[in-house]
Amino acid sequence: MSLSATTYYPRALMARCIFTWLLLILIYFFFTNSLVHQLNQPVLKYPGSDNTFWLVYASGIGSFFIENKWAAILFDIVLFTSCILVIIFPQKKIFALFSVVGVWLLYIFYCSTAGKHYAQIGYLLTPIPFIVVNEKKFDLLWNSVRYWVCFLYVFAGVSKVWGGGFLFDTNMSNIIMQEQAVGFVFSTAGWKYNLYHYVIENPSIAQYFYRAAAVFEFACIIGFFTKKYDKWILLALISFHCANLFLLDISFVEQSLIFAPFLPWKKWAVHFQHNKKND
Amino acid sequence: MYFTQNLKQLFLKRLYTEWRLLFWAIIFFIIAQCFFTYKGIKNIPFFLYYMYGQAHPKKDSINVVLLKTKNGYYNTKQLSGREQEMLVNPIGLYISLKNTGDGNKININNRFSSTTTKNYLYKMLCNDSEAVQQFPQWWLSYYKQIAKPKEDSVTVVKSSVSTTYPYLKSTNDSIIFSLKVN
Repeated sequence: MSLSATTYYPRALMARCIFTWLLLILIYFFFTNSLVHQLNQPVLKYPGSDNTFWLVYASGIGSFFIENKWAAILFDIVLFTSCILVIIFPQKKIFALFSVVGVWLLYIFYCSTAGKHYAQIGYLLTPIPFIVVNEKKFDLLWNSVRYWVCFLYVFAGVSKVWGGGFLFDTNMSNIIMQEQAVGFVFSTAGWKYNLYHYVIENPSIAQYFYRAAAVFEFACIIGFFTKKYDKWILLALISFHCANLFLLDISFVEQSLIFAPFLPWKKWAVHFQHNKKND
Repeated sequence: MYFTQNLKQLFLKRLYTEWRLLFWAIIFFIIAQCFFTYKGIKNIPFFLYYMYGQAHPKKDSINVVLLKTKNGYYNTKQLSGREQEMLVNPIGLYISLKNTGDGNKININNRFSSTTTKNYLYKMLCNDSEAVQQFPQWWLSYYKQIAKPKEDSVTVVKSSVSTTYPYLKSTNDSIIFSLKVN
């Protein structure tokens, strides 16, 4: 059966691409000192009232990996290895399962040490569908992740109206001031300083960015009904995160995997197969 | 041409027909996400996805945590976002633990009545005074790892930055802790 006739996503090709992408994110974590063994066995924990965090710590899993240097090293090695093994053996779901459990635990360890729940969750969601090998089930799970990403962004867009930020005229300039306060201690010149100064002193312009962000997020609602506009949703998401990076210094390396469900994988698979045949 | 007739249907409709368990899981996730957000309860995998949705009123000044060395303040902005968070955020937790103790004990007391369970959870989920005492040394080890400081000491201070141009830092620093680096 040719790929152009298939109804399902090309799982093996996608597994290789997505887990290479995930591996690059883990390498980024290594260079930003945020793998489990690089946390140097933190002494404080902050599970808050989160039931999942409670479960991880009450079961002893949290303390075991965080407080034990060699367990932390082993954890990171298993995480990297499982990710590499998915790239080599995309059909073996056990490696994908290890990777998925590993990144979720890494998220919990990092957040409970830093004392904050982070919204950068792309690397947690996108690998999940690869825990199944059945083509049909994978297809449905992949579509579910796409659906869930759309839902989260629509939700964030609605929250901006419901939470009052959308209609609060100076909201964005106040947020930028809050996020850049430390930066102002060190920088009093340069294009970034001038940009922040300009948008803080011109709240109506800053608020246009905020409202545009809310509209971009809410536009993901189109994704519930059709895939026809996926490239526009992708563009909206990339623009949103680039604006976050420039105005609020929020990097989106970890979050970048949420772009993956909007990429034309089936089209690429057909091209890939076509080129292979020509070779 | 890459989409079958099935994919032209609403996705949830297709899911209901082809994998009913996943359909109900998605519905459950949507309801739970709305519920936990409405209640403001952090409970992964249901993430609070406000993304700055609330109104942020203007303040006269913003509180900041800074690292003072003999060569001036260490520029934490040159670190990656993940390093900044790991270096600065736990200091807020440390201050609150020192001032008011571990708030998680209240959560445990509210959720459980058995003394045995409560004692077990205090041990597993809460920070005791020994952990709080050890925090500055842990913090120093992480600071040394990421900043590779040349100065022989560092002082963690709390200060504030004015929200009025030119956004100057207050001259008052209140010391949180001081440490010898070497």
